[in-house]
Amino acid sequence: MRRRLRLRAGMTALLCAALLCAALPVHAAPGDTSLFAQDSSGEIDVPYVRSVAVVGDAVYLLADGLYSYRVGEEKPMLLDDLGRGSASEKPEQVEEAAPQAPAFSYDLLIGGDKLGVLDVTTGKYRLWDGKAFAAEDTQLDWSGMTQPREEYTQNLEIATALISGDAMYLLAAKDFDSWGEYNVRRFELASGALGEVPADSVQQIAPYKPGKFVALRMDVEKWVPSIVVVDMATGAVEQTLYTWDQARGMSQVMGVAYDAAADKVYCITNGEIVPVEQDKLGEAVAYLAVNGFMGSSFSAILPSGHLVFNANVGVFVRNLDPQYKPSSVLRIAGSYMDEATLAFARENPDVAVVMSDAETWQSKSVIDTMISQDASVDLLQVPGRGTLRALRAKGYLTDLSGSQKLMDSVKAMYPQVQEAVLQDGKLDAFPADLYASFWRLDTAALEELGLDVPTTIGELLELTRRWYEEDMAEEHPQYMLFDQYIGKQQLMFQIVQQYAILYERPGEPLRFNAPELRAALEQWEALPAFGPDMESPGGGVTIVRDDSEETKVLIELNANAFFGGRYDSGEGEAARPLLTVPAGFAAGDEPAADGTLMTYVVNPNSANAEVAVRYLEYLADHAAARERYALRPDLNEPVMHPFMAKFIAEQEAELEARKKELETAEEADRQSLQESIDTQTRNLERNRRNGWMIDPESLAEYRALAPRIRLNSESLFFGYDDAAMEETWKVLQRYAEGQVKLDEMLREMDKKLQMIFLEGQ
Amino acid sequence: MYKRNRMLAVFLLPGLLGLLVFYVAPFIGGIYFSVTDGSFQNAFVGFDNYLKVWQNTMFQTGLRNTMELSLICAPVIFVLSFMLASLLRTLGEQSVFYRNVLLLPYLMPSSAMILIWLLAFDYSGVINRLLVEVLGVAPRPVWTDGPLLRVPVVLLYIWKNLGFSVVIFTSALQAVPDAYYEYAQLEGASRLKQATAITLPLVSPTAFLIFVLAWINAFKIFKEIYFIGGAYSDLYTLQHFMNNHFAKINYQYVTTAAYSFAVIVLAIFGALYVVELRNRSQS
Repeated sequence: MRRRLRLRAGMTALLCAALLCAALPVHAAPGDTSLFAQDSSGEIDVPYVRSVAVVGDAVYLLADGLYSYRVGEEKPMLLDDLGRGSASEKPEQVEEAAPQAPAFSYDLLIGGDKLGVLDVTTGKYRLWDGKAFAAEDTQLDWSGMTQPREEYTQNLEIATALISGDAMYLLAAKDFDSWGEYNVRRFELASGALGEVPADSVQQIAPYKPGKFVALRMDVEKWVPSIVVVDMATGAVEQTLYTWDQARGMSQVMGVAYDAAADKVYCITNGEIVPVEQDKLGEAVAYLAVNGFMGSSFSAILPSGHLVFNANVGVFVRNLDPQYKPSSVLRIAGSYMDEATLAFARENPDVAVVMSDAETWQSKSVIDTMISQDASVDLLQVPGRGTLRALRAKGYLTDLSGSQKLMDSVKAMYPQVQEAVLQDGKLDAFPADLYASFWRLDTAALEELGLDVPTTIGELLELTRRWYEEDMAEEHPQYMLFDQYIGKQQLMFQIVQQYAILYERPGEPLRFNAPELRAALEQWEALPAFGPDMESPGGGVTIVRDDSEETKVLIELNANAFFGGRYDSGEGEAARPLLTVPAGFAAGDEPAADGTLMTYVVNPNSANAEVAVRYLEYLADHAAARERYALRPDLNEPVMHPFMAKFIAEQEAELEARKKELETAEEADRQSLQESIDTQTRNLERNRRNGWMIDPESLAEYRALAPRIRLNSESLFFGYDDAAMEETWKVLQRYAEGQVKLDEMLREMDKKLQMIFLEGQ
Repeated sequence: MYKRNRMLAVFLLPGLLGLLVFYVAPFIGGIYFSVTDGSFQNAFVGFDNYLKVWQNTMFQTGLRNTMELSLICAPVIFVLSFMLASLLRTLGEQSVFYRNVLLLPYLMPSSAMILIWLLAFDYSGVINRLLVEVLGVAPRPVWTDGPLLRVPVVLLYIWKNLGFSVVIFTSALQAVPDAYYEYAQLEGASRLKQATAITLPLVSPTAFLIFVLAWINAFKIFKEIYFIGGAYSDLYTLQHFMNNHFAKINYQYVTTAAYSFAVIVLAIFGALYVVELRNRSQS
């Protein structure tokens, strides 16, 4: 009896301990940190890390000064400002035997066996002997590494510099024009003499076993990366550790590094840090949610088993011990690691966010995934018109109505958006973004040329006729009627598209053989050929323009709404172009614009549905302002870029200080002070005008147009079925090329749309 | 005896296993798709899918077009191959060359044949150029869509399948003893009389096989129609219906249409087989 009681007490204690652990806030793995991590919102203001090196157990960072960091330290320690005088923080304490950096400009840290600094313009370097930098520079054979330009000297881009044995190895751009293609160059440390290492198409290198590199190599023709072992002396590829499996989708491999203690190579793919095991990638040991990185980004593994990765938006340290992996992994397909997602990952260390390569635009592949009960993706961003409809028809959507937050957020969105995601009051998708295709008209220029501003398709076609038939195009070479992508054929497709937006009704096939469309197309047929599709039959006007000539576009037919506004110098620029929606074909046609809604859906097979909903709830409040403002009419406060807001506040404070200074200034100083105040005031005004993320004019313009956006979610013409789309567009193409007459085309289109409609019944 | 049976089983096993895994199992498995709704819950719906498919206008159109195409193609192949085989029989040794030439299209990859056809029947293709430049036809006809699509499709079918049927017919004709014809000639029988009274009755089992194969091949001509005419052409067949629903991941309709069609085909060939058996027993 007593034993049983003791056992029960023990069990209770264990349970309490477990509950206590569960209730404690979740922390990242020991040693996980980010150094100088920025975000594009400007909320985190840190110096940019130009170069990173690892020597022994220390990470060295070249930002606004030279810093060192060891795992477990609170933050990087400033060693020296390198004579830049701009370090954000002066050293509070000088590390024992801190290197005394030379007082000239160095751009790159050298790591590997020794620490050094390299001036990439001159090819001079200095090593640190463990106590201080060498007193003298050593000159590398820098021939071919720079080329003079008009006002500066251009140097080859250098991604990494490593010292191994008696040589320095640089991963440098292949030539001055190539982008992302690197070669390895070898320099004798003592003499600086150059010796080529014929290892080409290398993206990134990291130290490996003695005399060898582990490198990320790219087959530039097939765009397939591989991880290889390269002999330092000869540059020969000795072993291929892994070749990217193309079945995994787009290749995204980076951050290749070697853990000498565990004798394992790791790489980063899609935000997962995975070991390379016998020509395959193992299971993730840690996660890294970052954006902004490149294939050549620096990566190394410390003796403590932590991976150091320079993501160009900060340096990240991750513990590779799998026992510290987050409790759940949220895999998202069809999206990217935007600021909101990064912020979610920062605020939820118990959740690793991974972006998947899974296809989301083709409804077939998405539904195939669902049918095979694939749970490898938890959340998918899919187009609202195609894939969403197909998923809904099959019942492959998780009901999100249980989240009051999501329901409230959707109910605050535009009615047509609500209609697209709410089915009988049930929420089965969460809107991610909304785009629309408007007309942008340069009304001032049109008026100046004595042309009427078109509001209907008929008026647009009449204006096009006048422009090309009355030689206006040649009379006004400084203007283009349409942008360079719109020719006669494209104009026809625009007309048909606009017709479908306006006249297609759910539950019935769109009728092409209608007087409105016939009249418009007859008007179109009468136009001479123009634009990029000069092979149109019937001949016509060919306008050849000099590309160097600056021309103004009068009408842009596929304009989106940009909330960011435009640059306003404040020096009396031309009036703002009018963003508008076409009024259609006949009197009484409601103006309408074609909209594209992107939505998030939760995979019903997912074991992480709760985390996916948590993420969506986070997005409801924290998604990018552009996305939230496009979807919700209740958001009407203009938004300033956070970094501009901060900058403007600083400018205002400075201006205020100057004004106070002026009050007490000596007479002799007053004039120069006043001039300075005037300049600062002008700059401040300009920044106030142009610092918007969501500017008031664009917002008002969008708010007036947005109710006219039609999503036509049930459209057959803009349907999800590729074969059907292809068929109808083929007929239109034949008509555009003059192979079939108008009557035949209209009949064919009606027949095909009828077939598509009936087939789905 | 037991040992012999065991050896027989060993030899049959690989073939039977393949048949079981790749034909029988999917055939039975497909029935499951045809009686469920294909949703996430995958509910049992009995014969609902069959009712919906049979009531679907495009299924009916597809069935009608498939039958129509078969009724055009199978007799044409039958008659042409019999005529050519009879002709080749008269050529003796020389017939080998012509027979091989006729068989060539059958061995040619479909993609190459379709490419040739597309080049020939394109709006600006060889046929239209001949029609316009030599015969002065205007406007140029569109062969790859509309009612005229039947012309290239039937021609392609004949070109592809004729050789095979001719080869089978030729071997059957060669098996007919020459003495019968010599005797018939002595009796003053015409060529037509010889063909109907001697040749056809003696080759009827082969003729039945050729007719069945020609019909089956006509059912299988979808690939050619699809690549020439597209997914929603004037010659919309049952395969179009199944293929388009497969593209929409509507496996329920695909399997339902397939089983419906299988029943129809079995009924037709069953009836033909009965007729053939009756004819054979009478003769």
